[in-house]
Amino acid sequence: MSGPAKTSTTVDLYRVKSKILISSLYSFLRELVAHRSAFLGAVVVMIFILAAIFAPQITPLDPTKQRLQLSLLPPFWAQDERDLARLEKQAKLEVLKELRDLIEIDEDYLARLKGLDMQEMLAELERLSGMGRLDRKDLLRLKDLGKKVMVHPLGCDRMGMDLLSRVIYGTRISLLVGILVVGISGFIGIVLGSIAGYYRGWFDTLISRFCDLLLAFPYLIFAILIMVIMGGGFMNMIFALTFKAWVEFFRLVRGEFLSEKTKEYIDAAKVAGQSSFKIIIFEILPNIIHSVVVLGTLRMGYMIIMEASLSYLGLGIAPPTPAWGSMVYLGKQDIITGIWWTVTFPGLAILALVLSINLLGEGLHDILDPRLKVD
Amino acid sequence: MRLIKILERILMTIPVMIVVAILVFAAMRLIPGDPVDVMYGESGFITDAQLEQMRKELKLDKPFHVQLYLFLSGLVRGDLGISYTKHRPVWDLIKERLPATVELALGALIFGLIMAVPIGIVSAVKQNSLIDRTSMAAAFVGISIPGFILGIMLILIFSVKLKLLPTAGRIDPILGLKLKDITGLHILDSIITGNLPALLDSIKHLILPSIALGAVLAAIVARVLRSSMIEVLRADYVTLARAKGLRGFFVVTKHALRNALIPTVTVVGIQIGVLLGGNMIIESVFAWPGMGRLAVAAIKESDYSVIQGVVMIYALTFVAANLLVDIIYTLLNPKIEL
Repeated sequence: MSGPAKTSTTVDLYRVKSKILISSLYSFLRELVAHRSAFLGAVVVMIFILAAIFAPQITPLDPTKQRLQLSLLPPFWAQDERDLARLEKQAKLEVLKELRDLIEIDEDYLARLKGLDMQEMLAELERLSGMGRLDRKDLLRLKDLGKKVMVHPLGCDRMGMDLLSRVIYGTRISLLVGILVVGISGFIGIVLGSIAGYYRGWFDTLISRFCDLLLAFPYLIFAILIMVIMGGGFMNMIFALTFKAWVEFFRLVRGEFLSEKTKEYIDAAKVAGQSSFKIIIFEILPNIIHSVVVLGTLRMGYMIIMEASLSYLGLGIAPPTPAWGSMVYLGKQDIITGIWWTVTFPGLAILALVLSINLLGEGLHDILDPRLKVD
Repeated sequence: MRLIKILERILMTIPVMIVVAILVFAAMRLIPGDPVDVMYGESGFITDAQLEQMRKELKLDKPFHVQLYLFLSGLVRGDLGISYTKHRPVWDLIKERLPATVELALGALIFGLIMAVPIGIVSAVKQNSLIDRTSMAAAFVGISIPGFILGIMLILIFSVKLKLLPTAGRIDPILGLKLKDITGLHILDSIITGNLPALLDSIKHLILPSIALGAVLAAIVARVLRSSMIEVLRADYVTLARAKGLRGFFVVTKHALRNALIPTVTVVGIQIGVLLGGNMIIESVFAWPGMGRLAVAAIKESDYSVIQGVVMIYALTFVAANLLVDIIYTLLNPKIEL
């Protein structure tokens, strides 16, 4: 490297530090793969994250489009003749609607098209395209639309919205709530906790008493109270959940700081003339961050459950926005008549996501926090 | 000495309760629009003068600190104000529904402990056995499933599919009419009056909601009890007890369990808050006529005085429960300071 010459010690230190970082990251990944349940959890969480990111690409249908024709359509293995007829009717309807937007057709011809079944109609469209009245590209699009509407693998809810698309899109809300709430509360907890734990004094007393007060409310009740005051919606839910969630991170970080501060390397850093700010950021935080990560992962599942519960109570994300909790709420009115799919699929999705996050969290706990290992 | 500490702890709870009460009161004042707007704002049949009159009657024209004083002094007398939508005292509404909530909470607590304590002990003693692995896997699912989903799944399986248990309510309405109300707890009342059909019916109604509400508790307690039992079973005094020739059963129950219970009690205490919050959701899943369902209905109708009252009761119960846990904690282990 050209440029001003550095003293050899700093370069070495930098190299050593990055080497340690890389090798510890490597050994962490190896341990994660070796830890069967944590690895399983990580893989499933990864699948959910990918599903959330690529939801528009992998869902065949718009998750908020209502097709009342298809109200309470069962999943594909339970679809009977009548359901298939409903699907075909709906598909024809949508194809024809699109067709009318594309080209001019008179009423008589439309009536004739309506009388045909799906196969015959598509053949008729081919003919139109052959005559040059319909663009080849549009023909393919219409065919594709017909095919897509015919397929609702998990069935539909009461409003005729496609359950598979809604379950996939619902991943976004749940993951986003989990990540945002844990991220923001973790950040607040780290900042306040390190200041309170390092400096103590009136700041520590003030924040700690405030935490005690927040802890006097059961979590869900507290979130409900805030949602009632502020009203529903995504950002309000994040606020309501974060308002109390940071307390745990604060307590953890503060406690870790109290114990780290008594150790010799801090004295060494002080003697070496490092500022308090540097000691907090570069000396203590790297040593305790793993426990914050573990707590964060374990709390994420809980936050997702809270979000679903609030949405179930009608306080969180309101339909038709696809959120698992409100999907279960919408489906619940029909379960007495044996309509199980509208609640079961979103329910299983929540269970699968929370379960895998918890598996990952416990695994991280084992790997990163050997002090607390219970074998 | 211990008594003084317990007394101190009780006294420390009082300021917390007062601050909680003030916080809830202040929070409810943050909502845009006052109760009169909520009650009559959209009806359009009332003149502004009448609205003003109404505000005066509800003392909403007084400054904040006067209202707060009236509220707190009312609270001491058990007066939580009037429901805006039902036009009845909030305390009466809560009182009517409290027994249902207590019955469900007890049902969940009993279910949770009956499941968790034997599982926790057996899993610890027979560590890594098939029983241990299966029950810990089940417990893991238990902490990962939201109560409302478990409740709905239970309804689907046991009520809709198998038609074994009722889907909603506390008791068959006809049996309910015949049941004399003494404590308000249906099961207790039917035992006292010797009403067997009512007893069986109440138990049938109680089973599914108790499981749905108590599952998390069962799962968490089983896990904590297991790990603290494992730790205790390794301790020297347990080895000594075994070396003395004590039978395994006594070693586990007499020597190990008592100490393993200490962390467990803390966890049960923390879980009481979860039980209270969960009760709101489970009550609406099972149309259980308790306080939680009252609150959910009040939220939908923007009946703020009821919400305020119920939240207050929940928070105060939670504070009281934590106090109780701390006391039990000291009694179990004299070394622990409050």
